[in-house]
Amino acid sequence: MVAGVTFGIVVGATPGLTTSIGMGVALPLTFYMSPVAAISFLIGINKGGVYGGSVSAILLRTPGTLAAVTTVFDGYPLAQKGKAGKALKMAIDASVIGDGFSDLVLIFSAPLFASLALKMGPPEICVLMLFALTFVAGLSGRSLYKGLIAAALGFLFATVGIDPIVGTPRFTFGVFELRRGISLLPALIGLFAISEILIQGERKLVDLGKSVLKFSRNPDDNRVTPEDMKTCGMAIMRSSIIGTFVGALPGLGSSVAAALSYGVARKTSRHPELFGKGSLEGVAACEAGNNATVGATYIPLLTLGIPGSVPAAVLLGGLMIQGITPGPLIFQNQAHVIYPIFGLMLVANLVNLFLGNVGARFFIHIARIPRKIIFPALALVCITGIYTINNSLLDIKVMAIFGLLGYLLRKLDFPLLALLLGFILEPHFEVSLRQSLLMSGGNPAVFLVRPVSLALVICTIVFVGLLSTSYGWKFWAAEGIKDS
Amino acid sequence: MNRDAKVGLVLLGGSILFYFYVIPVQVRGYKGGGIALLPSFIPGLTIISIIVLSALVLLDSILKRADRADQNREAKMIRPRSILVFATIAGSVYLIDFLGYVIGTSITLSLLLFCFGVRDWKTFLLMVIGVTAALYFLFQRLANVMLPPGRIF
Repeated sequence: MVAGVTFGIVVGATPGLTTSIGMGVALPLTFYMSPVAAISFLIGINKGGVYGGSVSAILLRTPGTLAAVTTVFDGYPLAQKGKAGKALKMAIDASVIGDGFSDLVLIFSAPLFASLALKMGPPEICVLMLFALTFVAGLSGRSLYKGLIAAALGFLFATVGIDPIVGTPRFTFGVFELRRGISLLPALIGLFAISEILIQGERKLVDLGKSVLKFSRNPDDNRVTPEDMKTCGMAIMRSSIIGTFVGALPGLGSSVAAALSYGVARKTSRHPELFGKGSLEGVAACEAGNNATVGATYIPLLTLGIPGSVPAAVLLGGLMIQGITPGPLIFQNQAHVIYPIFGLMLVANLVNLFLGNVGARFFIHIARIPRKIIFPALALVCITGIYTINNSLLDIKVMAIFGLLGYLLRKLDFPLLALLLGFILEPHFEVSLRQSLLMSGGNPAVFLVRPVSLALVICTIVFVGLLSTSYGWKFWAAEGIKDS
Repeated sequence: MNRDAKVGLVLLGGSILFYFYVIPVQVRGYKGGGIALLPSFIPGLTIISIIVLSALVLLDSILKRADRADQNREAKMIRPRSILVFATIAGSVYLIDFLGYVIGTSITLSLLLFCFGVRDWKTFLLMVIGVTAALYFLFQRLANVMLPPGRIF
């Protein structure tokens, strides 16, 4: 398990190597292990991998995994302020708390949770996505219109490929490989890492010889103080609940959990103005949210045999190699395997905490490397990592194009987060919206006749109202300042 | 005309062209069924949203005479070195495709190091050999990923 967590952290921290790739590569090794060791090894990689993504997100503005996308927004600004150590340690603490919480939920309420998740039909999923999209507007930075345009562009890019309902190609421009759509990883590495490399390339040659980040010698900048934990405690707990809920819903994944957690944390924070500029609460919320999906994603897998995410699907393969069949009877027939695994999942969190804290001491030394060395090397890591996902040179082209797009959008003050969230949420939104309309014969009232869906519609309207008020307030405040 | 107005105008024009010329050609129609079966349902809805929003950006920037985006004009300018770095990254696809992973990435890394101001030949050599070899070992040997061998060798 220690080997699994260590391997997971390394894989997660390497852009282009996702947790699922790491689990897939390690899967053949489990042939030679006992069932408990094999499954704990794979779960260790999953846990370490989700945390590991935050290391490169914080230090290099390059999320190692999809789950760490939103960690970039506050982790990197904190690192730029010389607080990389604090951000990394908060990331591991929040990850372990979120992960531990979801493990406990898995252990104590797996069957109940899974049946609740299964009751979410297309209308509920669609309204849940809409609810998530309202946060896009909330996260859209200075201009609401630009935020919404960026989200719409994300939507448009996500429609490239085969139509999910009728199977006809859309926007493939005659390129066969585009039929499988634009992969998320090349797009996000382009938007964040490559655009950052292009921005760094603008610097004067003298500046490029200096270190990437400041390195603070103040001990408080390199550790999580009790005050920090007090400030971030509520955000961590809220995000743990959100992550657990999202993780139990098949198909949504840790990136959606992190984005939702970030949005909620920003809305409920006493200092929302710090979000995007180096808020420790932002880092804590994202990391607790994304790691809380790890345990929860095993709820539908173990109780119903439904893998809710790619890592869960790889774990299903691992379970089958060991002759374990997931399903409602697993707790009776395979109790001698499942309960030790549950225990080891909790121990894996402690191993993750230890390795993450020890590793943070070494990771922050990346901050000492001069820009002129680290950014060309980072570009090469991105090129190689992106190629290896699908063995496709087209993915490198997609990454480069998104890099240029991200660079231009940053110059024009369009928020990249809104674009990315639109890109992530569109497939879920489109499928569930069209399925709902098909179910109801095109009647949009389908969203109002189901209790969960209706509750989510009301929540969305309330949030839109609150956002409008907030923007109205900001507008009047800005006008007032200008006038005065 | 300020920067936001130009952005709004370009987006408005581009999305109108997209709606009338790209969607009809690039999204294959599906006859029959309701609106939910139309493959152009979401792309069309999205483009209409962009048309409305870019018109609002244009209107907003015309009504607000002070252009806040232009206040930081220096930081908003696009620099030639960034375009050179982009061209190197985009060009790496063709280099790797023709010359293979090791030679292609070595040339790409050399160009990037030069763009970023590395002039010391020892650092240059150490980086090119060290980073390329480390990545080759990590992906090709440890992860068993087949890196491109190239077309001309």
